[in-house]
Amino acid sequence: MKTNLIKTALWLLAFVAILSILSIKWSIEDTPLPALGNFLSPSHGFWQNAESTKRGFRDMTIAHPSLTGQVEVVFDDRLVPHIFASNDYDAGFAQGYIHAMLRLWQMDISTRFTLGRLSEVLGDRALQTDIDTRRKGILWAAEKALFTYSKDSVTHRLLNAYTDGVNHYIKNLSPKDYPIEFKLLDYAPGEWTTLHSVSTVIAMARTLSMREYDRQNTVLLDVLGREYFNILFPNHLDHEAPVHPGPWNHINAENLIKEDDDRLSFLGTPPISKPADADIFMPEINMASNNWAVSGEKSKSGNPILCSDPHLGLSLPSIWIENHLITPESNVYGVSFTGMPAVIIGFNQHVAWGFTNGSLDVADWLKVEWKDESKSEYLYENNWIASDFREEIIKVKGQQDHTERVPYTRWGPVAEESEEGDLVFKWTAHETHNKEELQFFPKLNKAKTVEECLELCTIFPSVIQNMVMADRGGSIAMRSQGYWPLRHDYSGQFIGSASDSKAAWSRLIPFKDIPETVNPDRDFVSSANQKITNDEFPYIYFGVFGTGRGRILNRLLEQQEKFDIEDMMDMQLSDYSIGAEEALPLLIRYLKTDQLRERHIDLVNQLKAWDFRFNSESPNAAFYSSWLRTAQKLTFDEIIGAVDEKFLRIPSLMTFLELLRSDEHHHFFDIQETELIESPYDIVTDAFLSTWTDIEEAYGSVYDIRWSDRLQQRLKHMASIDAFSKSVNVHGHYDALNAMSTGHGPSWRMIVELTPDGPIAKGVNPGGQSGNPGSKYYDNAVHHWEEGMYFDLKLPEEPDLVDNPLFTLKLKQQ
Amino acid sequence: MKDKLFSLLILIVLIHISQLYLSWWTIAVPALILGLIVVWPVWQTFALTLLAVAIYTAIYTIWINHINDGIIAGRISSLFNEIGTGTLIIITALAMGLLAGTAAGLGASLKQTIKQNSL
Repeated sequence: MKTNLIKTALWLLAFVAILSILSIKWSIEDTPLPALGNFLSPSHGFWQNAESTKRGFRDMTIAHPSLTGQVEVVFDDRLVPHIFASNDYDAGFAQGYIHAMLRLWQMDISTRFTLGRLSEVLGDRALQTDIDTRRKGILWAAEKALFTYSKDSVTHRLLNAYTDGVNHYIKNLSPKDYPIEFKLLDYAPGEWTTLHSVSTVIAMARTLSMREYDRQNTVLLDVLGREYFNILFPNHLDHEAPVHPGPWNHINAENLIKEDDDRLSFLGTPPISKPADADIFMPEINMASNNWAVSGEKSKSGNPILCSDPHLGLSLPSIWIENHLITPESNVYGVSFTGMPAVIIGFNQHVAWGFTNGSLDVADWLKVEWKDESKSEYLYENNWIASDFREEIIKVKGQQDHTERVPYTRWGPVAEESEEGDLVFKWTAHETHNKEELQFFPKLNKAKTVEECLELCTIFPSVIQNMVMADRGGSIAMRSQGYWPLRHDYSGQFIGSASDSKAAWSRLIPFKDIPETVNPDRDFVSSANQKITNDEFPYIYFGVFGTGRGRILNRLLEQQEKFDIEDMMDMQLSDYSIGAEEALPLLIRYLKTDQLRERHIDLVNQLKAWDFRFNSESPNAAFYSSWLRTAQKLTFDEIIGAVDEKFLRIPSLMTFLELLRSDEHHHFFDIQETELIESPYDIVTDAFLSTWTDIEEAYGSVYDIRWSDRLQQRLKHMASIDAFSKSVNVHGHYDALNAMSTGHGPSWRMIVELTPDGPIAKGVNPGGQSGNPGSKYYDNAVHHWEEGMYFDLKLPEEPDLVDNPLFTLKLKQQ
Repeated sequence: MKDKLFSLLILIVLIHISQLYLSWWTIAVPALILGLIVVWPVWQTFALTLLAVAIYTAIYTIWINHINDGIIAGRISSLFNEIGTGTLIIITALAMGLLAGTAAGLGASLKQTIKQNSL
C-alpha cells in the first residue's frame, strides 16, 4: 500500500516536472523565450504558422454590420489584394481586414513603438525607448491629431471603417492563429483603435522629419568655433543641383522675416545630456530616396514616365504592402503603410505620384530656465509663464507601471531633464493644421490631373515631401509640400533658449510660397533628398541633405534625349557612384608614390581603370570605400577625439573633397596625435597603406575582398530575430541611384508610363505581402528585387480580369 | 495486442479533438483517463502512451512540414542554434509524448493504489 502511494507520488512528481518544464518561460542570455509546451505544440504553437505551399487558399466570406455593400477581394499569385468595393468606406474596411490578415504583428509593434507602449509587451528592456517616445510628445501629438481629424466627418468615418476591418479580423482570430511573433513574445493582439491608425502618420514623421543635429552641432560649435564649424557643416552648397531651380520672384517679400541678429550668443555652455540610446526599432538616419518624371517630349513613346523609389529601412516584413483599390470613383494601385487606408505611392488610370523626403530640420531643442525646482514656471521673454504637466503612464510587463511627469511649455514637451539643463523638444509633427489632412491620400487616389494633385496639397500632412506627379495629359510636376517652419535665422541648428520668442518658429511658410515646379522647360522634374532650392530662395531653411545622387540623376536625365521604361529601370538600378567619380582621382593625386611598392602601384592602376560602379563583386569598390573612410577619419581626428561618440557628426564627403581641393595646408589634415604636421599627402598615403594592411589581414589579399563584404546588406526582421531576417547580395552604394547602405535601400521601386489608354507600370518590393515567416509570401519578391527585376502592375476593372487569381474574399453587410 | 492498439487509437483521436478546441496541456487529460481505465502494467502504460503520442505528433508535424516546404521549421531551427528540422520534430514529439506518457503513468499508478486501497 505504502509502496504504491510512493510510486504514485513519484509519477505525479514526474508529470508535474514535465508540465513545469514545458510551461515555464525560459530565457537564453537575457532573451526571453516562450513556454516550450505551447510553442512546440503542433496544434497551437509555431507549427500552426506553417502556411501550406501545396494546397490552394480557400475562398472566404465574412459579414459585418458596418459594411454598406458587398466587397469582393481577389488575391493574385503574389498575394496582392485587388479590392472591388462600392465606396471608400467599404474599401477601407476591407483594407483594414486584409492588412490585419497579412501583417497584424507588424501593425501592433509599429504602433507600440510610435505610441510608447513597447514595454507593455517587451518588459523593462524597452522602457527607455518608451520614455524617450513619450517625453518627445509623440503620443501627445497623435492624440491631438486624432482630435483634430475626428472633427472631419469623412475622415472620422474612413478611420472607423478601417478600424472595424482590423478588429473584425482580430476578434475572429484564435490564439493558435496569432502571428508567430505574438507567440514568441508571449502576448496577444489588442484592440485596434483610430489612434493606432493616426499614429501611422506620426510614425512617418518620426522616421522622416526628426532629422536634427541640434545637440551634436552645439557641442561641435563649442569644440570647433564658429569659423571651422561653418567650413565643416556648411548650409550653402554651390555645387548642388537643387530640386527646384526657381526663380522665386513670385514670393512677396512682405511675408518674409528678415534674418535677425545672430543669436548664437544665447547658447552658453552646451548641455551634455546625451541623446537617448539608439531605439531598438528606430531606423537610422541614412535613408535616401529618388523620384523623377519626364514629359512626353523626353520619352521615346511620347508619354510621360514617372519613377519613384523611396529608400527606407529594409525590413521583413517589408515596410510597404501592395494594394489595388477599385471603387466607382477610382481604380488605384500602389503601396500603403499597414495601419492606414488608401494608397500612399502609386498610380491610377490618369495620374502617378511618388515621394522623396524633404529632409528639412523641423525639430528644435530649447533650453528651459525654471523659476524654481517645481518647474511650474519658466522664463519666456522676461516673464514667468506657468507650465503644464502631463503624466505619461507606461505599462511595463511584469513590473509596476512607470510614470513620467512631463512639463510642457508653449514650445512643447520638456523631453530631457538633466543636471546640465532641461531641454524642450519642438517639432512640426506636434501640430495639426487641417482636419482634412487624412483625406489627402484617398483624394489623391482619385485625382485625374497634375493640377488636381497640386490643389490637394493644401491638405497635405506635416512631413515635408518632394512629391512628383505626372498625368496622362502630359503634365509633370514636383512640389515640396509639408509644414515649412518660418525661421528667423540659422540658430535652429543649435540648442536655443526657450525664453527667446524667436528661438524657433511660430508660423509656417505660406502655402503659395512652397517650392513647386510644373512642366519645366527641361522636360523633367527630379529629386533625391538634395537641397530643395538654390540660395536665392528667400526663406531660411536648413537640414540634412544628400549631395551626390541629385547631381547624377540630373546628369543622366539631361544627357539622354529620350527615355523608355527599360532606361528608367537601368537608372533605378544604377550602382554608379558620383562620389567615387569625384573622390578617387583626388585620393590618387595625393598618393605619395615614393612610399608605395610595385604591388601597391598595381592596385592604384587597377583603381584608375575602375568604372566607379559598386558591383557587389567589386574589390575596387570595397578598397576605395575603406580607403576613403580611413582618410576621412584621419582628417577629422580633431572631432572624433574631442567629442563623445554620441555627439559625433562627420562632415559630408563633399565637404571633405572641398577641403582637399581648396586648401592642402588646412590644419584639419594634421593628425593630432603626432608631432609632425601632416598634409593631405600623408593622410591619403597612410590611409591607403593601412587599408591595404587591414584588408590583407582579413581577406588574404586586396583582390579577394568584395563590395558585398563591406555592405553586408540584410533585410532585418522588425524584432531583429535573425532567423526571420535575410541576407541579400546587391549592387549599389549610398551615393549611387541604387542607394544601398547597410540596413537601408530601395523599399519600393516603381515606374509608370502614362499612356492615353492607361498606365503601363512596373514595381517591386523587397519582401512579400505576408508578414508570416511561415509563408512563402513572406520573402517571395526578395529575389526579384535583388536581381533588379520588376513585376507588371495592372489595373483590372473587374474581379474576373485579375491575372492569376489565388482566392477570393467576399465581405458583405451583416 | 489489438485491444491495446484500439485503446491507443481512441486516445489519439481524443487528443486530436481536444487539441482543436482546448489548450496544449490538455493532451494529458485523455492520457490520464487512459491510465485510469486500462489494466496494463504501469510502465507499459507510460511507454505505450509516450510512443503513441510521440508518433502521432511526429506524423502531424512531418505532414505540416511537408505542406509548408519546411519554411517555418527551418526558421525555428535556426532560432534554436540550427538544431535542424529533424531534431525539432523529435523534440516536439518527445515533449508531447513525455507529457502524455507521464500522465498515463500517473493514471495507471493511481488506479493501482485506489484498487489496493479498496481491497
